Amino acid sequence: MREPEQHLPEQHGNEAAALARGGVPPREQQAGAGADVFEEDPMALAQAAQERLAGSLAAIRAVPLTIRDEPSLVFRP
Amino acid sequence: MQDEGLAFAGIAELRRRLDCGDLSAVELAEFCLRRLEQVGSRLNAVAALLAERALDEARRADQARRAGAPCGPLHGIPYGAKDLLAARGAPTTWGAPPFRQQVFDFDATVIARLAQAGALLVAKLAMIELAGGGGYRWAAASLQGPARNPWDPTRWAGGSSSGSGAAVAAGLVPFALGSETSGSIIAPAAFCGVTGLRPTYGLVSRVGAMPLSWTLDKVGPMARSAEDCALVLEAIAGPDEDDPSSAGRSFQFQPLPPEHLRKLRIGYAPADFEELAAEEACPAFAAALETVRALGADMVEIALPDDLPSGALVQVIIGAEAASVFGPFIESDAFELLVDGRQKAGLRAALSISARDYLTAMRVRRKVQEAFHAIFREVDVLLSPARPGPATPIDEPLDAPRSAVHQGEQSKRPSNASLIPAGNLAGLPAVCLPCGFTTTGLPLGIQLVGRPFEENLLLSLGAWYQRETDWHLRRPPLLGEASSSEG
Repeated sequence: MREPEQHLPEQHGNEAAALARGGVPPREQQAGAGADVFEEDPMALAQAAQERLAGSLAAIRAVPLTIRDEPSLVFRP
Repeated sequence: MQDEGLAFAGIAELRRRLDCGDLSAVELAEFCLRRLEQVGSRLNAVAALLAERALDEARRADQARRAGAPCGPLHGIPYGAKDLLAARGAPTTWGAPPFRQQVFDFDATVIARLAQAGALLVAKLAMIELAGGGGYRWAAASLQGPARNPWDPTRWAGGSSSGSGAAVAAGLVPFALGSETSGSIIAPAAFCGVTGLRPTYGLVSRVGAMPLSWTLDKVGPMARSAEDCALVLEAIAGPDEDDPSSAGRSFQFQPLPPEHLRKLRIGYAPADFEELAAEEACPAFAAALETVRALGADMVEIALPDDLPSGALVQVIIGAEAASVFGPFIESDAFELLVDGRQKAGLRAALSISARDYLTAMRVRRKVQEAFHAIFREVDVLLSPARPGPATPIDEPLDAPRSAVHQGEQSKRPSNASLIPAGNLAGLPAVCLPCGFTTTGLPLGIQLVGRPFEENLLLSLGAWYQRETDWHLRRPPLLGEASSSEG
């Protein structure tokens, strides 16, 4: 993984300014130019994401529930 | 009034100048458009300038005023909208490269309501791609690049309503619309030193807003003061039969007098202000707590239960709902064009959340609501730091450890460290108020959280706090002016 400052996408800012001036979408993005600017390992990120999700699901499943604990499917505060 | 005075004027002052003919709506719109182009682009705060639309609306506002038509408080006032809100004919990119060509042929309800109130939409403002629903790692996770903080451009403006926070803080627009699923108004408001309001779920229509999580998404204002947020909320709140979440309620600000506020019970957890805050933020948070205490309200130590996994619930509920919204997109080639690898991995992982897990999360969510019901039997308002520390450096990963709480040190005392995810899970309103600066000059904010639909109470308390302090009047030195204590 590289340091982010080597890849900070200033080009996005410049394109935004162009977009801003014209009020219309700029030129088509070059293939892949916006993808994963920090060149992190997708496999490692995927594994970490699965682990984070598994941890969250485990934490939720650990909360004791009874048959009276019904979800608010039409959510109301 | 000098240019910078105009840039940082509140809505009431701008309205006074418009009413007396000292300033036209066209002049004000042109002024904002110029600043958005010159300053906003340096901050990566702008997604699109809407000069033609804004000037057309401004001309009509001036004509109406000259004709003696009734003009409300927002008549002729420019604003910017987070780029997740549809604006007819303008790019609405959701901050994401794959959607850079997206254009809707209708206005989001909130934008239509502001137009009806005479407000002028001058810009779409930058945001974290897809409102950060997959969990992002970098401030640069946006089509516009990292939104720079006007107080220190090496710092982030916060997210996901990044441009909204930066644009208000930098004096580019008097107010902006942001949205919050879990923290996306409160965090950038705190980082940028502006006032932000997260409305109760269902008070403000989301029609025309990018859906991320149907049961969590809210649209709200970011502005110079609690009173300005109230003016905007009056315009945008209200029933919308096209929004299934609409609560059918409207909002009218009726400021509560200090004698009423003194009778409040304000809950807080000392650990939030002492142990869990960043060291450089502790003096400002302590001073803010003392200011609130001086109101004379009953200060009650109270905390959320520590056995409810609010962060995990937010991840799973947003993940499951976002996977439904964006499923076909996540499985498409265009998905690869998103900027942030962690976010992509998070969204892909969310595709595997089962119905059983989602429903279990929704069942546990009710326990969070019940916990708040219990707390709000004891207190009227909860008070905590909005974020434990200041804006993060834009070139550091957002999941890097920064303070005691981030380094895994748990306070042995009760805390409300999970107030942002928990408050969002319960659909509660919150207001973020600037409360001072770190020892290195970065803004900090406190948040007030109340019962559902008690925006009037929160904004009244916020307005009182802002009469007692001047933090909300300070201006970033970036703009050539030292911090001011005027007004």
